[in-house]
Amino acid sequence: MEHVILVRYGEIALKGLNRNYFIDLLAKNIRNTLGCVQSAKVKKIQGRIIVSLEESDVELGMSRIQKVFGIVSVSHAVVIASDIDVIEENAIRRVREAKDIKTFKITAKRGDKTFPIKSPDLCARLGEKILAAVDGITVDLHNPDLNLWIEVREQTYMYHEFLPCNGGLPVGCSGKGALLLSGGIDSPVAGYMMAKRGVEVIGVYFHSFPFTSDRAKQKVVDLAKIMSQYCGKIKLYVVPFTEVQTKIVEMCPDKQTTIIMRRYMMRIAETIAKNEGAKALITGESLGQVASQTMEGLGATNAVAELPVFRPLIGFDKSEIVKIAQDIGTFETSILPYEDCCTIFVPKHPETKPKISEMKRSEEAISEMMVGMMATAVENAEVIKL
Amino acid sequence: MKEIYLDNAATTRVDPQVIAKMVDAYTNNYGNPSSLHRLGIQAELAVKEVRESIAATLNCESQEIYFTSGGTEGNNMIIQGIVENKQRKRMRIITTGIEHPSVLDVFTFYESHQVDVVVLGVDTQGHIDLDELKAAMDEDTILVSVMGVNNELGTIQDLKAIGKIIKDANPRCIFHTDYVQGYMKIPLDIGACQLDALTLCGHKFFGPKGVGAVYIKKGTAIKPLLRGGGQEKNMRSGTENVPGIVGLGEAIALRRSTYIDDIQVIMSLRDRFINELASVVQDFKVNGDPDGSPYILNLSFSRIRGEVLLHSLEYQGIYVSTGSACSSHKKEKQYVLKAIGLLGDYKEGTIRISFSKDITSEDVDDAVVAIANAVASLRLLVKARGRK
Repeated sequence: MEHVILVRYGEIALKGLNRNYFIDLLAKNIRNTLGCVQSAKVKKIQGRIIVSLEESDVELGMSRIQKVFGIVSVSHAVVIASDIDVIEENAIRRVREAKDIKTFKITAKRGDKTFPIKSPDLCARLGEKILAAVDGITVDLHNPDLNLWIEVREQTYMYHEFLPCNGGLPVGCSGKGALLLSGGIDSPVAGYMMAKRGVEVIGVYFHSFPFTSDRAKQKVVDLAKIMSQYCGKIKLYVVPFTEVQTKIVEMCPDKQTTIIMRRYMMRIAETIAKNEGAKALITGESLGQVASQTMEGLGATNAVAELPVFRPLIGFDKSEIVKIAQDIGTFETSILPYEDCCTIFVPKHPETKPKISEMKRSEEAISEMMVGMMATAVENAEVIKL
Repeated sequence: MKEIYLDNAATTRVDPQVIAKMVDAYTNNYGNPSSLHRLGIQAELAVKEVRESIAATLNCESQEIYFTSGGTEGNNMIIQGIVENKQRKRMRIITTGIEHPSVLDVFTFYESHQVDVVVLGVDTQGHIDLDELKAAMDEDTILVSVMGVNNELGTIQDLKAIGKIIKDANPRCIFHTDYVQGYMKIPLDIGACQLDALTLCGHKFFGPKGVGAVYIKKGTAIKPLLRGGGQEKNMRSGTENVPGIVGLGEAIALRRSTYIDDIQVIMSLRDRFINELASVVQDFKVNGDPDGSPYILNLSFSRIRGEVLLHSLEYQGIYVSTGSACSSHKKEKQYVLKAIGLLGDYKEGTIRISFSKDITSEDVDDAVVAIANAVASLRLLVKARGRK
């Protein structure tokens, strides 16, 4: 028997004339995520994407597809001929083989109007046949143990389970964004959230060796890899940041160093974004979470960017962010303790209400040499494709 | 880039001759020592030979040697084996606050299982207070475990005096030492120390990882951790790691006749290191005991993060440690430094240099220059911050 995964897309079905573009993109993203599933073939039918694959690959295929954005739900279905005798026979067998059920219901949908039996009639007819053929079972239309779906199209799809997915839009349909990715809990979640709205994510990680170790870098690579299950392929820029960072610590007032450092991170990320054709920056900032994420702090870092800065976590509590990180599987990696040697750069009394004019004044001392240092940092960035 | 490996207390590079012997064992002596046929006997003989050679180095009987997967298993096997074997209402076990986690964590585990656990403090050099031990010993004390050579500080405990105190107070009490950092480095007379059990492992002296041994004195009752095929006289079931054991044997053969003479060589390397460093770096401390193992040199620099210094050195091909590699996974990283009362400015800036016979005085000089440069530039940063 042929096994398929039925893919239902939600929001993109409403996209009018652009609909085919969205569907093609979704199909492509599904194909990409199924690269590891040899038997999988992806095709489009009216209102659905169908993935046919070996029965032994169904579980793996489902788990991969469930993580692709732009999908409302998936079902594992078997494909049978759209012939009433065949449908009857299979429906009876399916109910008979189901374990631990006392009640059932048939939901039939006739997509192919050349099929001679209308949906309500098909339901009734199948119900009768099953009641006659299977002992100890009754119909319950409201709360059945087994709701058997029969979807009659050119071929007929039979299934009983809807697995909800993450919704959103297919990654890539909203353009590219450069995510400032640290090893922490928040930034991978921010990347996830924007990918959910169709953004292709590029990662930008600032590596301050020897203040952050190569394990910290590996951790970010691992995080990007986990994110790529949702976001598709991720290009990760590892930017050598030591020179810039130590210069800031040497030359700028202690309490401003965090904000000034973040301003230079934004500038470097924006250069990379523009080189990549990205149209936005993405950060994991959440209002008031730390000293640099006050409204004034965000204003001061925001001021150096021309591109819009998306902060999808801005209104989230830490616990809410942690919940998402746990759900998407980045949390365990994020909490590995490899970044604590950066404390030398944390000011004792960080500025919580920085003024942009003061930041500018402090940066005057270094701005000239920073031009070269930033260019070197971008030039020497290591690019890792995940 | 030249590589200077100064993390030999974490592990050592396996000697090529050891590898050759292991490859030969994997290739030709691949039988299971429990098999009845010729190949089995051949493998059994290889294991027996190494058992005898370990016994000879410790001056004990070969039946008192059991193979393990390494130090952690050895320590667990002995401590758990002794505690689980005694079904007494009142039991006391004693150890020190600077043990390797594979000892300390087992003791802490029993603390929550109605065992009276005593953890002895240490002085600023890492020595236990013999009077405190004497006071802690009682009728119910079934086990005392004291690390012979500390893995972070190199401090050597006076096992002979400790053994005497234990046995004078309670002759039935079992005396164990974790000798992973001492075996094939610092000679030990187990008879004079009245030791009942000792842990050693292979990869600290150019042997392979994943193999070690314990000495357990005849007549010491221990409940095995692993049950099964009854290998190692029922004390440690599981097919013997024949190539690993052969490798361990070869590592011992390569070291046993020279290691005592090497102590002088390593000592002069360590002294050179300290003296050279003192001529170019200020505000650092040498932790531990000057008369401890010369293989381990524990240094604290003020106003520096040890981890940052480690990574700066790594960048220059020099590999050191910030403590024991095994405990760098743990949250409570610096319990040994805490135990010796290292304070203030120096607390964060600790690295461990650990030597081997392969280190030259040129390596020492290069490492000192690299440390001096790294410390200077890191301190500049801190100073720049302090100014503002």
